[in-house]
Amino acid sequence: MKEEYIKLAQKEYQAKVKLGAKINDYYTNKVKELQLKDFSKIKAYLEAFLPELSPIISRDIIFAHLDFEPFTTAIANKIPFCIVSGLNPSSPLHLGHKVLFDQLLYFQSLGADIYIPITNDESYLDGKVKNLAESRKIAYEEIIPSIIAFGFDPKKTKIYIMSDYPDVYNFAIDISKYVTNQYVSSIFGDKAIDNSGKAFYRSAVQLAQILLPQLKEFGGPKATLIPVGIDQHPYILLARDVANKMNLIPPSEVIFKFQGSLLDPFEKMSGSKPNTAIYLSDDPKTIERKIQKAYTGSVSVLEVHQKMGGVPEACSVFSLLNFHHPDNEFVSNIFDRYKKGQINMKELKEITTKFIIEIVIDHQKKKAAVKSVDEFILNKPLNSFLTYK
Amino acid sequence: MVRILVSKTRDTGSSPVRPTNMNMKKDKNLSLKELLSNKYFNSSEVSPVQINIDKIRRFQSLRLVYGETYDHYGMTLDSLKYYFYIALLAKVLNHEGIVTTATVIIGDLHSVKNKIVENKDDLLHQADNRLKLINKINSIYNLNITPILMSEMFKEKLFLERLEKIVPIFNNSEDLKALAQKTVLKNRLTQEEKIGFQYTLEEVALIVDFDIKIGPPRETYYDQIAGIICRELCQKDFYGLYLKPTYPLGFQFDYFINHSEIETFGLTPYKAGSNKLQDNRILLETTSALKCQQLINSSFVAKNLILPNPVLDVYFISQMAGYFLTGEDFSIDEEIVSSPELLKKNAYQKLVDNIYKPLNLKL
Repeated sequence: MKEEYIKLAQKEYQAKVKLGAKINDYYTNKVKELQLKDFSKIKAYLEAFLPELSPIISRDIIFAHLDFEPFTTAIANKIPFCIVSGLNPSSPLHLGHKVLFDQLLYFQSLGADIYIPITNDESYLDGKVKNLAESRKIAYEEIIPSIIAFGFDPKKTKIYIMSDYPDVYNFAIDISKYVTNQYVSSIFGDKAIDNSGKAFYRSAVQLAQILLPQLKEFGGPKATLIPVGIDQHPYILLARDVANKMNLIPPSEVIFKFQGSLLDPFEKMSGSKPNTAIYLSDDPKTIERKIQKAYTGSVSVLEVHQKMGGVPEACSVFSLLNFHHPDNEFVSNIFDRYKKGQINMKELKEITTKFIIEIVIDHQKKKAAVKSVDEFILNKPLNSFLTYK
Repeated sequence: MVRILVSKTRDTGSSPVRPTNMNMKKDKNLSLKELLSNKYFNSSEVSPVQINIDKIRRFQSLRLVYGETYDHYGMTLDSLKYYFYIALLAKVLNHEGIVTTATVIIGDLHSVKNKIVENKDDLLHQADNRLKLINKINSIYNLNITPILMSEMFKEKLFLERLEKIVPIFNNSEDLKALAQKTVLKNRLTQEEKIGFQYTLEEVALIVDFDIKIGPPRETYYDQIAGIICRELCQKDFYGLYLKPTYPLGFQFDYFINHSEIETFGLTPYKAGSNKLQDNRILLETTSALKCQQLINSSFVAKNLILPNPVLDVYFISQMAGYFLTGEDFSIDEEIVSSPELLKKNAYQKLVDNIYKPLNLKL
């Protein structure tokens, strides 16, 4: 009977190794398929130039880019640059969102001005909230204080809620003539524009968010960087095309790996599937329960794990450390020991649970301390494209 | 035996600089293996004609050659790297019992060949000054290299006979023509095709008289042609040995990211005005030591050996100069190479002490 378990565990190990390779291949193939540039060369330069490299870069979480080169000049010469990163306020923030905010914070430390549109219009159009009012409430009470709690510099961070900044829609009207519905449908599919609001949103409003910093009100055309997940790459292509038509500077992108689901490391952590995600609002018991149930890279028979080792590349629990723990040496050490079978699943879960509870509780404390969001809110009137003589 | 110029760790292309155990003594029997595998000097690019230690040891005698053209801006510090390297290699091979000579060809005629070159007569006459300077360098550092003008070699009957034999071999080979196309810039391809790749064939006719040519990686196509011609014409092998590309000083890292061709191939080491970057090079006859210091201090310094590191090059060339000058040991230690500040400071100081002062250059 024992031998049978061992054989099964060995098979299980092979399956996990395959899953790890599948995750790695997914990103490698996407770089080739979409003709993106690998980020490793830029990483090597940044490593030599910057006193400290964010784990987001040193651990290859940012893995590809399109036209990042101009930002190296900005970073090298300490010239301010601009980043846009939107957020759909349909659920509380989770650790997947934190990956994005960690990037934004790091780029802000290198000189970036950050624009964060809170796209409650999109949440409503996609049926993720009952009405705009509900999404506004989530945005003001949950999302924005949570973003501020990450420690953004109010002088260099501009947040706006779409429904509360209708000037952007005027800009979207201005943009809309450059994009046909047919074009949008060829990129996103018919379902993505199955009502008039979605069609307007995807063909124009989203582009207005991306191109907004290039308006005269914000200093005119400038290089803009958009950190995205790989699935959002088509939006950037569309925005680049429209920017060219409008004599603006085509936005660039850095593409980051998604934080894996707790239940399947090949899937994305999703705010609409609570068991796949750890929310920044979760309490310690919930975090512990979720991590206990998470998929790991360790086989079910301890003896086999100790002999063959774990598969951190296919482990939702290790992934939490890899994406969030600030100490490279610590993470590297855990990786090595787990891979050699010197740390078992139980120990890994304990270490990870303790760490994740710490950072989530810390975040909650910082969020509770946020008394006002006003200094971050962008409400500058947009009229450069409306003025007439 | 004294060890030289090697890292104990394998260069994976991504790892930062590791401690090295390198010492050279002038009169000791230096290691050929370590010289050829020295990652600070040798290009990691693989060429079909690249020499290796097993092949080199089959020779009883060897003729090494390095050839360079020049422009109105004069001699670069980077030329010294090649003079020192060819001299060192010859020395090491002689110690190994392989009778070796080192020749530096000054390509005076080829320097004025390009249509866009201005004041051709003046440039041609500069060859004499260059010859004098090389002789001075040769004498001060005791390099034992033989400089020779291309124009003198072109007068030799044997050269003319070789060229005559090479032309039909080349014209009948599509492979050779394909390689020749790679030796010229795209915008000059039509012109070169019209004149039957004369420049390339003259270059090949010169170098096939030697056994190993030392040069930058971008010259591999000449050497590949020479390799094929040599086998056909002389029934002997011809090899290339490539040093790391030369990079401009005074730029931050973004320059290399935004100029990928320079990042990949570097500048032409001996042509000061390569890519119009003469102001970012150390030109022995014109760049003051103060300007060198400014260039060094404003340069990006990488810890990763796969990235361009012109300051490390200055340091290394100056170290080599010190070795030839005084015979004292020199070592590359982690502390200096891994600290941009220390590397810059040492690169400048050694440049002044080992090159500017001995050659009596402008301080």
